[in-house]
Amino acid sequence: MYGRSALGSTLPLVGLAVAPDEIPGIEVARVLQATAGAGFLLYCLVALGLLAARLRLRARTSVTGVGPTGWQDRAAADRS
Amino acid sequence: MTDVPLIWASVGLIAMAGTYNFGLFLLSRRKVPHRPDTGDQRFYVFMLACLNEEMVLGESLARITALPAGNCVALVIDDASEDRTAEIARSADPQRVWLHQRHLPDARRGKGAALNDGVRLLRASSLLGDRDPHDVIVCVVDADGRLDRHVIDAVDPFFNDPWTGAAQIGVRMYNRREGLLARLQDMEFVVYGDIFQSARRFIGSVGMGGNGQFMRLSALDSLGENPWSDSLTEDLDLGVRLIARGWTNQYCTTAAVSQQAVLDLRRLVRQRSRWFQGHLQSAHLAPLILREVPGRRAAMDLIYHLSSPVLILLTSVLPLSFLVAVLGAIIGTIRTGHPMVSTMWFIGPYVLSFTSAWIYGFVYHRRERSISALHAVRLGHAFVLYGYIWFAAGWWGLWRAITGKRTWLKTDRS
Repeated sequence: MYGRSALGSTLPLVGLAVAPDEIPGIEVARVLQATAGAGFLLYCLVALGLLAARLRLRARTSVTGVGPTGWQDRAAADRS
Repeated sequence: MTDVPLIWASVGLIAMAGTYNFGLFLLSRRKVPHRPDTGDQRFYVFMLACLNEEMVLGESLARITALPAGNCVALVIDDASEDRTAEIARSADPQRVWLHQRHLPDARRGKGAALNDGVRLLRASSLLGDRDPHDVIVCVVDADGRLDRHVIDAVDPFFNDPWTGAAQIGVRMYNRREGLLARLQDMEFVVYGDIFQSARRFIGSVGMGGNGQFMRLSALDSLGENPWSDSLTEDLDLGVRLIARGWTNQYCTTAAVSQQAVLDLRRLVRQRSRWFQGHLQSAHLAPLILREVPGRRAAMDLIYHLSSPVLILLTSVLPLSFLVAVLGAIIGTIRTGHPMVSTMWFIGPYVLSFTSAWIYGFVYHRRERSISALHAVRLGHAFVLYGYIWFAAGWWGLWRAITGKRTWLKTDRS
């Protein structure tokens, strides 16, 4: 159910890029936006870590020969 | 300016969300071929976990017992109700409606516990006779759920594929004409189903909802003694664990269950906070996804979906930033006596924020032909703003998660 509101929050981006620097409080707005950006960079870092973890886990699984489809194979055998 | 890279990163956050949403919209337009009929005769059990549902249960049971297929029953799990819930179930046709009563102190331990008890009953009792669990389909319906009459005909072909473990149908609001809030909830479920769930059929990451989820009994058996967890979003958990077990989840666009929309904003935010907190709890599924979900695309999409609360919280900062900038512009304009922004300044924010409104309006109009295309687009604009309730719900849910509060009152019927 999530994700759609992300588009609704693009409002500050263009505002910040185009508005003149003399606008009072613009520094606060910048800090808020930078905070979101920093959080997103951290998110990307964690996502990369998870991707690497998956590759490692899957590689290990294929070496040991116990794959996630193992259960289904057994179930198929049971059903036949 | 040392913060420029970080500001661009926040642009990246929005770009990623926009690209993902638009990509899924394009993917959702593709058609799904059905497997040919295998001739299997399947038996459907509609499970309704009920706690004080006298206001809505009668209508729901009437809908189920009126289904044209003669191969289905309703199993009402009365979770120690204090009202006439059990009486209503008992007064229905006993051949079509089974009643299972739970009693305190074992009852009222959440929807998941009640559903697990229902499945235990199905396994242990002789109610199913000698039917093969592979050909028994369990459907979870909320007590206020009103199923389309053709629901079994619509769902059954998905189970011709022996690896289909579950199929989710669409969700609508039957009181969607009772005000803007109800209408937007209807739009929310239509958009979620017709774009996101439909697209995930091609990725392999269709999620289960708490209402209108059809599952093979054998698929539930593969999840162990208790298929449903005690999470606040036990449906999300179950869908992910089915995929991790190697089953395929399907999404059926041609049938729906209608439920009651929440008509009060505060109650709606509270409901979404509960979902949000449940979504946070589901973070423990990440190792399972990484380790066992077959298919890299499905795994990455599930991880993205599980992590979406983080993105919600991050993006919630951006409207604050915009608000500060707008207030600053107004104050600056008053002080200097000349406008600090031109009217052109608003075109960019509109394009970035409301382009999706046109897409959502298009999707909703295709589903709800009773409203005009123009009205659907207007609703799409309201829908973008409606999405902001997730910000409030998100921070509320996070606060409850941090402070260790796990008890929630169910959303009242009205």
